[in-house]
Amino acid sequence: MPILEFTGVTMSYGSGARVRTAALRDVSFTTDEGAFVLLTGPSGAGKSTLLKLVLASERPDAGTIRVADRDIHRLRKSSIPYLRRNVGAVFQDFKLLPDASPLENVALALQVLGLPPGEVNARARRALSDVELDPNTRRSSRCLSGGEQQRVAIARALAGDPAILLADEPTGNLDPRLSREILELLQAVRRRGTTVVIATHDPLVFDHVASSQILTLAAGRLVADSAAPGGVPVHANSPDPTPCHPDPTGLVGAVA
Amino acid sequence: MRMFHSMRYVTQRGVRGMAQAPLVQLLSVATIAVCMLLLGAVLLVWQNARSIAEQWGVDVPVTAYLVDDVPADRVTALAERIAALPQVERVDIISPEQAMARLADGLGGDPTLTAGLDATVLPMSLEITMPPAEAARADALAAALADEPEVEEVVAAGSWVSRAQALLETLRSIALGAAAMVGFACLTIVWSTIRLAVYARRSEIQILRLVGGTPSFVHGPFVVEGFVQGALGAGLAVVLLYFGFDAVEPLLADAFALAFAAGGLRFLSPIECAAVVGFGAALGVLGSRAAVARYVEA
Repeated sequence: MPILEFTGVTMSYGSGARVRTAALRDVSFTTDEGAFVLLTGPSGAGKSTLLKLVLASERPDAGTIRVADRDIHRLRKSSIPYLRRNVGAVFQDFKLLPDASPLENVALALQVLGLPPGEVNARARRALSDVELDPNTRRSSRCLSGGEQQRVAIARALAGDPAILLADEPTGNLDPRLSREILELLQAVRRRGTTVVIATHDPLVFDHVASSQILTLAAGRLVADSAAPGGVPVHANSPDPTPCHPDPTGLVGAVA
Repeated sequence: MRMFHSMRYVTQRGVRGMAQAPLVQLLSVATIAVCMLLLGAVLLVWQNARSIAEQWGVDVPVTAYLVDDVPADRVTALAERIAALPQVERVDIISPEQAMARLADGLGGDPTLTAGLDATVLPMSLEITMPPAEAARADALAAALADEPEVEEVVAAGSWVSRAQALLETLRSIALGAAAMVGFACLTIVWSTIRLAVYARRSEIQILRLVGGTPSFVHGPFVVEGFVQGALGAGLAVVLLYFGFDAVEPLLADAFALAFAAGGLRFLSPIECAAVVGFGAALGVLGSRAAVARYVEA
């Protein structure tokens, strides 16, 4: 059953015809519930923009985006917070409160739900334990290692039990050992039934993750979708089609 | 129940936010208190001036005392006839019993002072209220009423009434002007303080929005801060005003004993004090909402 559907999505930044920069052009794909999706492509390909659209932080210029069969850009502004409670997000810069403890950071995502303090505490502790962090630590987040901070961010994203977990370059700031740990953690999340979408151009991710779908973006176009009927199609209008394998990141091509 | 837990979080976060920058909060509350003190002082002066004017009968420039035993229908007909005059705002029929009650009240409510007095010794009267602009015509109206067969005597407060009413109008304008200025000043103070808090906590705001915080949940703590600042500032102003009034009142009472013969100066009533505090709190809420609105749009 599809949980995420993009149909002809186009999105530009800036205002006025001359200064508008296209970030996504006519992107269409479908992702099934419980999938592990790798969203790849070189820097500036539109990966982060695509995640922002799913979070309704940006609005498309054209096309439709459906999350769990709801057209999210037809939602009223007042409904957007409720969408975000169902879509957990992990950011490259973690976006943690630096002076708050891991428990307080995770609790924040549960407090917005209006849960009683006891339940907030219990669920935040469980979420931290799930990512193998000590819920009792009183250290502020700024004192944690990069890997620990990323774990806190994942725990916060999962605490509300979202249907989809978005992760923007989750290994971008980590060394290879910590990256592997985080990737294993994300795979464990997927095994629990959560759809995971990772935007990355880190080759390590492709070596360590058993993905069910790879979406490759280049210059704002979707140039390959491993889950599309017929294998790995290449966008007909792509000026510089980038194959998904064996170089899904586009880095080799860029160097060559 | 979820609403309750959200409100509890918002309140606690607002108070904790205030504790994070106590000096800024203190300065803000003190500045609001000074502004509200100005407003309270003007309100107090206007209030007492109006009260003295009422005691002197400034609001009733013409009183017609009626002859004894005038039938009620004739009294009513006369009152209606006077009320229909263009220069008259209102006519009140004051019975002997009402006059006696006022007398007792004017004597400090001590029943021994009016014991043995029969209300019937006091005449029935008509109290004629005129708009401030028409007060100068009080003497002419009094002269005309003196010819009425039902009227025994007419007392006109005289031309000083219009001057007193003009003074009251001026005081009222000053009070309104002060309220507007103080309102603007308080809004600016709260807005600036909350903007500082918003800037300091912009990461938290961004995170709350990303994890699904509704606009009211995100801006709630800042509104609580604004509310508390406004209410504390106004409350402090009322307390300072009370002590100031307490110190000055005996000096004024001695210096202007004649002016206060009919009744002393009085402080703001509890309802008026609550209104000042509520006004401060409302300004705090408005200022904080304005400061945070741009940051919490979904």
